[in-house]
Amino acid sequence: MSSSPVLLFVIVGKNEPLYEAEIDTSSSSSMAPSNSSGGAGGGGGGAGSPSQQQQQNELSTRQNYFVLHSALDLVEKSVYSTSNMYLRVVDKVNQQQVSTFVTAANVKFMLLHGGKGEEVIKNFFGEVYGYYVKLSMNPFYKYDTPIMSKAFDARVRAAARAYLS
Amino acid sequence: MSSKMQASQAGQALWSKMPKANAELFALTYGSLVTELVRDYEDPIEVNAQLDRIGHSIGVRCVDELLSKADVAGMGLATQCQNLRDTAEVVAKVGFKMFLGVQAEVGGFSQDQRSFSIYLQDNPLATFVELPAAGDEQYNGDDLRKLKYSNLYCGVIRGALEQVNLKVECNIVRDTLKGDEVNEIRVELKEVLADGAGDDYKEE
Amino acid sequence: MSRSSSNNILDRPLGRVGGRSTDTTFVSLSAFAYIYSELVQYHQSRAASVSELERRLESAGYGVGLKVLEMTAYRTKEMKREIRLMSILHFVSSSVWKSLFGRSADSLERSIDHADEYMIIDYEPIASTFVSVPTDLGQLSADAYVSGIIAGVLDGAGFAARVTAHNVKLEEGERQGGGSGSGGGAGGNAVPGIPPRKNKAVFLVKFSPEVLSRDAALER
Repeated sequence: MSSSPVLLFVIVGKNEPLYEAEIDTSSSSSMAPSNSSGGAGGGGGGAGSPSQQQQQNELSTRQNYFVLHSALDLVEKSVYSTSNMYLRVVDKVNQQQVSTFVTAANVKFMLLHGGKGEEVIKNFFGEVYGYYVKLSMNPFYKYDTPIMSKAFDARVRAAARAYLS
Repeated sequence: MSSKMQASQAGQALWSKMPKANAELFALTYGSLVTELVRDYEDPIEVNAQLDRIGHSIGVRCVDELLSKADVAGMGLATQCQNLRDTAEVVAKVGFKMFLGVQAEVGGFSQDQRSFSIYLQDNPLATFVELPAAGDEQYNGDDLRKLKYSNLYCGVIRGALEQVNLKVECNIVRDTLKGDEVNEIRVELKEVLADGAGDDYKEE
Repeated sequence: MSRSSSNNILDRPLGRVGGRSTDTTFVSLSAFAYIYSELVQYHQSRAASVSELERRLESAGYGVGLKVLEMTAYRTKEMKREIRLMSILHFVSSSVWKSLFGRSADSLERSIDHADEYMIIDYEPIASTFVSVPTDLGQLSADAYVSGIIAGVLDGAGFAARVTAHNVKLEEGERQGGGSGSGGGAGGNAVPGIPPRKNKAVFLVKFSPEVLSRDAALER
């Protein structure tokens, strides 16, 4: 499997992304993956010099967003054709697959991955949904606004490592 | 010592008779009030003051409900509040219990017996609350560190005790929303108001 | 060291499935009433007219409705969304009602005159839940707040609708005082000292044209 160990998880509201996290599952150690600036500190010991790898990362990041974006169109078309929250894989581009989960209030969870099991992803989404619901019960959290909670971010990353590594 | 027992038994008995409402609707409705205040008054200190004011108006009314229901149940709490220790027990074990269904504890009496703390493990006002992080654009997250989300309690206690002629000052000194392990409300007796029922109140 | 994180709301369990009254936590109805009454008074102090007060309370309810939608759906543990018009109405009149008022609404009816209108009918518990608010404001405010909650649930789920509350006189022989044997437990049904209502609360739900046409298309 030449699939990338890096997962991209995005929560999309009515018009814009509310949350995103790039999660490197290649190393089980407690690195702190960052969703900014290409995650150069990953130390995911692999081929190439650091700078080469960084370029590679940036390239794939851009591709990833492109894939997610086109998948979103497909999701929008299918939201009223099934009552399941979990929509499974909605789009495939090369090695990359996009799995999606839609909440009761039509907030979309999207995961870009290289072919993880459907059950595993379902469980991941289920756990994230629990965190999302609790977050959304917070009086200070307004529906369809960016998610700034550090606690939420930490839980999502931990869940990704637990289910998707 | 026996007052401790009595108070928590009385609280439990009264709570079991109270008609109930959904605790989530309660927390969300309070949340709606607080966030509205935060929007209207930008300064969190002012929001705290408003919550205290609102709590005061509740406290004035709910002490009547407490005393009359206790009276109907033949508990005679009014005569039990002969000193600040007993009063504190009634606030924590009867008041919090009968209205919110949670157990509060009393402790931390000062040497002069004029101030004490109420400790609250579960806070029904703040069930879902996480204060906005610094840098949250929607709210001025930095400033909201100064917000005392549950400051309503202070007003309620102040208002309720005022009705029984005790002028107190009340402050939230520990708050689980800010990482503390427990909620602690510090109550300090300022003055025993002279009139009516307060006459037989012994300060010691 | 991870001590403090256990206080975080995200780590706490989220109540139980199905809205059974024994699984939900309660406060006293009085406590809710005090808070609710203060919410109404606060908005009243800032509103220039009765209609502005209604709008403000609707908007407060709307935000609560969006939260209640996700929470209630999550609790069913079925991981399902409501995508059909009738099913979202059932969701509101049963699941949402149960989680808020401890019992289902008394009935759900389609308007005879207008195909885009539905009615959620309730005889008692809402009024008694909100009863503490001073005099005439009580009914007005409960209507606006609950309408807002319903609108928030519907709109969040993708069923934009205008929700209004109406008091309708009970007809001869129509049952009174919500004696629904369900023994719903939660709502403060039959609060002592409150005279039985002679009216029923009707929440009129008028869906937007887009919602109706989308739902009609799914019919095929």
